[in-house]
This record gives sequence, structure tokens and C-alpha cells, in this order.
Amino acid sequence: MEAFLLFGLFLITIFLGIPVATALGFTSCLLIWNYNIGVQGISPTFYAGVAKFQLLAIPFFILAGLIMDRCGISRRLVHLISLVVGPIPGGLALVTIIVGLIFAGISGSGPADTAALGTILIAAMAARGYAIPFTSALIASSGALAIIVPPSIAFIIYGIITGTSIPALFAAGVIPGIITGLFLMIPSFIISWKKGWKGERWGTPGEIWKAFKEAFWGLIAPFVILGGMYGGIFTPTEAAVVAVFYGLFVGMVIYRELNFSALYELLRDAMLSSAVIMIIVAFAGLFAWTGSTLGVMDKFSGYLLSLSTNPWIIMILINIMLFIAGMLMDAISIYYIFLPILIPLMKTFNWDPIWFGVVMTVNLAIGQLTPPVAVNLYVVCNIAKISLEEVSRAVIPFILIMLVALAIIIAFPALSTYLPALFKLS
Amino acid sequence: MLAVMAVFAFLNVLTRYFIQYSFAFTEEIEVALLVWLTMLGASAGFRRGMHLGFTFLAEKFPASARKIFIVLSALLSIIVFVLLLLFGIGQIGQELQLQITTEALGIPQWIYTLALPIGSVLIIFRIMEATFRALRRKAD
Repeated sequence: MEAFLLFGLFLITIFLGIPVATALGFTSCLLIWNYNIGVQGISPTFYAGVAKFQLLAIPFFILAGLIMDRCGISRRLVHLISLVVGPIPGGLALVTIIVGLIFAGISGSGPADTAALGTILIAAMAARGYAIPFTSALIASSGALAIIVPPSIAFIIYGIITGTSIPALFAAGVIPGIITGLFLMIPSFIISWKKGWKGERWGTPGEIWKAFKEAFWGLIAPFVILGGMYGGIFTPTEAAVVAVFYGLFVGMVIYRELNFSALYELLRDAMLSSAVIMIIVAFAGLFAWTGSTLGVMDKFSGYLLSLSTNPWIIMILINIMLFIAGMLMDAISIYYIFLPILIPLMKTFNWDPIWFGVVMTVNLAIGQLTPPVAVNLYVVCNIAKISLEEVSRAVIPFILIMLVALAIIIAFPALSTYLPALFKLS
Repeated sequence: MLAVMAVFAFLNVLTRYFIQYSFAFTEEIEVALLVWLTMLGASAGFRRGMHLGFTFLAEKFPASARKIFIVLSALLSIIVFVLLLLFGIGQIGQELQLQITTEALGIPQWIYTLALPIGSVLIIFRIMEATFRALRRKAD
């Protein structure tokens, strides 16, 4: 009954069109009151959900992503990589994925990455004859790499809830992120080849060298941020702060494309985007607390375990469940709602929490592309001025190929666990 | 004002880099600022309609029915923040009574907790403002 009320009420409020954060909050408050498990707990639980040191990394990584987008790095990266990729079919499409991977190594938010790619690449690709729905779908998919490749807001949340080392999770995401990116190239190449969309020309060595020097500061950004974290004493939060100052330095001193009025705008945007995430974190935390206190989460785990004792069948079931949830909710709510159910399963089957975190995150990266709730598609629709229906059709091949990548990441845990073990993080 | 707060948070991190020993105290301020940032940013988010929601189904309804959705959605959201306001005040009352102080700075905890009721009041006003605006736009 409690389970039915908790999830039923949440779904109803969601379908009414209420913001996810308040839907979570309303459902939790009502159940806490109805089952008398301590209404006084609402406020402290809310406060404790937000006031966590590791969560500070979120606003800083969002700000870093926005700064990198606006400081002139993106245009230079696109220029360099187009010269290198040359006239092969789908040239700019491949450029999008590669730049998406580099961006993913700087920012940790899918929508932010999508916006950064979209603002420069949609117009450029349209001018070369690429269909706008295809371009938009590709950009949204490349943006989704942001939460798989470190740094990643998704891994921060997963790490906080499960108590897994965040630097270890970050290291674990590198190889799966690159694999997913490579897989995205397959449909891009085939579709572009069929439609006759080609790249430009190869750059001369001199041109490439010049473009490389120009883009150098952007290219090394991921290494500065992640290198700092693994090389020294950086915590993820500190790495995020370093990323912000690195971006400011490049934008204001080297490229001189950022001024103080732009910085003010960036700070405001970063604060708004962070608050939208943080308010979900706060209420999702309250929701998870309510569910756990009522024993709903344990019951759900027990139910899943009763379905099968075969870990692979459970794994497939979990992934189907997460895929469906990804259509209806954002990644952060899903971590808070589902992890209390999934953690007992992880313990039962002795699953490596790092590997499981990568699997879940890749699945939720796909969730950023599956409508009706698909944050990356919303962002790209706004930039490209096309409807959600158009881009939803165009994104299907990318979703399918990402599911193949997900299957490979599930089947070979070493892809996720090799780097953390190498760095002795796990 | 929002930006000033963000800058303040950055300065705190910066000082932490150069003055290692003040670690615990800047960390406490940053975390407290994060709570304020969440509440104030969320209220601005409500005014701009930035919060993520599943509006797909509601948008399929005719305009008159959609009005009901808008009002209902606002009402439920307001209930949540009224509760947060009331229990936030309750929490402050308790913290005052027990004279709870913070770990690093030793100042009264209620100064930090104040973010919840003040933020809630702002959010409630912003939701009302956004709702009236949405209704007026629908009426035109």
C-alpha cells in the first residue's frame, strides 16, 4: 500500500505537469504526514540533503562548462578538428562527436555540453547541407557523453548516495565514454555517406599546426582538470574550482573573449542551472528517505530478487527499468529513487559498485535523449528551433547504437574497472 | 545579487588554496552558501519557468483544461513550500531553544537554517507571480 501510494502519487503529480522537484516534495510530505513518520523531519532532511561538501562541485562544474563554452575554446577546437578530419563522409558529424568528447572532459552536465556544441555547430552544419533534425539529434547524443566522461555531475551524485569514491568513478568513466563516442560515429558515418554529406578538405600541415597552437589551451583543459585530480591532492570539488579559474584565465587573458559583463551573465546562468539541480537533489533526498523509512525500498528489492536468482536476468531487468525511468525523469531523481532499491541487489550479487555506477550512468545518459523527458533534446530544440517530434525521430539510430555500447559495457566490467585499478583508486 | 554570492563562494575556495589551515571554516561557509544558492536560485528558476517537468501530457489538453493544470500545479508546489516554511521555522525554534552552534565557526546554527523559510517565502511569491502571468497569457 505504501509503495503504491508513494510511486502512484508521484507519477500522477508528474503527469499533471508539476515540476519534478515539487512532485517529489509533495509526495514525500503527504506520505510522511499520512503515516506519521515525523513531519518535523521534513526541514532537517531537506537541509541535510543540500548541505554536503561534495555537492559544491556541481555549481562549479556547471560554471566551468559555461565558461569553456564562451571563452573561445569551442570555435578553435571545431576549426582544428575539421582540418584534421578532412573530406570524409560526415566530416562535421565526426567533428561534433570528437569535440563533444573533449567538452565532456571539461564539463559534467549533458544539457550544458549540448548547448555548447549546438550554438556553434548547428548553423555550421546546416550551411554544409546537413539536415537539421539529424544534426540536432547528433549534438544531443554527443552532449550525453558529458555525464559518462569525467568530470560528471551524475558520478558525483552516485558517489554520494552509494559512498563510492568519486575520483574512482571518474576514472572508470573514461574508457566507456570514449567507446560510446566511437559507437556514435557509426550511424553518423552511415547516414552522412548515404545522404552524400561530406566534410571540407584536409588542412595543410602549416594550417593544422597554426590551428593546433590556437586550440592548444582547450585541448589540454581536460588534462589540467583531471590530471590535477589524479596527480595531487585535489578533491573533485577542488578540481571543479580549478576548472573555473583555468577557463577564466584562458578566456580573459589568452583569448580575451570574456569580459566582466559576460562573466556576470555566466555566474547568473550557472547559479540558476545549479539551483534547478540542487532543488531536485533536496526533494529527491526527502523522497528516498520517506521510501526507506516506510520500508518501501527494501520491499522493492525483495520483489526484484524474487523474480530471478540469475544475476544477468536481474541486470537486464534493472536496465529496462532504468531505460523506462529515463523517459519520465531526469538522471538525478532516478539515482535518488532507484539506488536505495538497487544497493541491496548490488550487495546480494557482489557487483562492483564502480562498474554498476558506470552501467547506470550510461543508461541514464541515454535517458537524456529519450522523450518525453529528454533534457538534451529540449536544449537542442530551443537552439535549432525545431519540434521535439522531429528530433525524436532523428535520434532513434543514436539511441539504438548507445544501447549496443551499454550492452558491451555491461558484458565487460574490465572496461570500467581497469583504470580505477591502475590508479589504485578502488 | 546572485552573482555576488557566487563570487563570494569562489573567494572562499581561493583562500582555502592559499591559506591551508582555514579549511574547516571556509568549508562551512561554502556549504551554507550552497543552501542559500539553492533556495534563491530555485525561486528565480520558478519565475523563469526553468524547472524540469513533464509538460508533454498537459500540453495535449485544450486551453481551458490546461488552466486547471496550471492552477493545480501551482497549488501543490505552494503547499510543499508552505510546509517547508512552517517546519523550517520549527527547526529554527528548536535550534534556538537548544542553542545549537555550528562545528567550525561556533555561530548559532539557525543563521544557516534561515535559508529555508526565507527561500520558501520567496519561492511561494515567485510561483504565484509565474502562475498569474501564465494564466493571463492563456486568457489573451
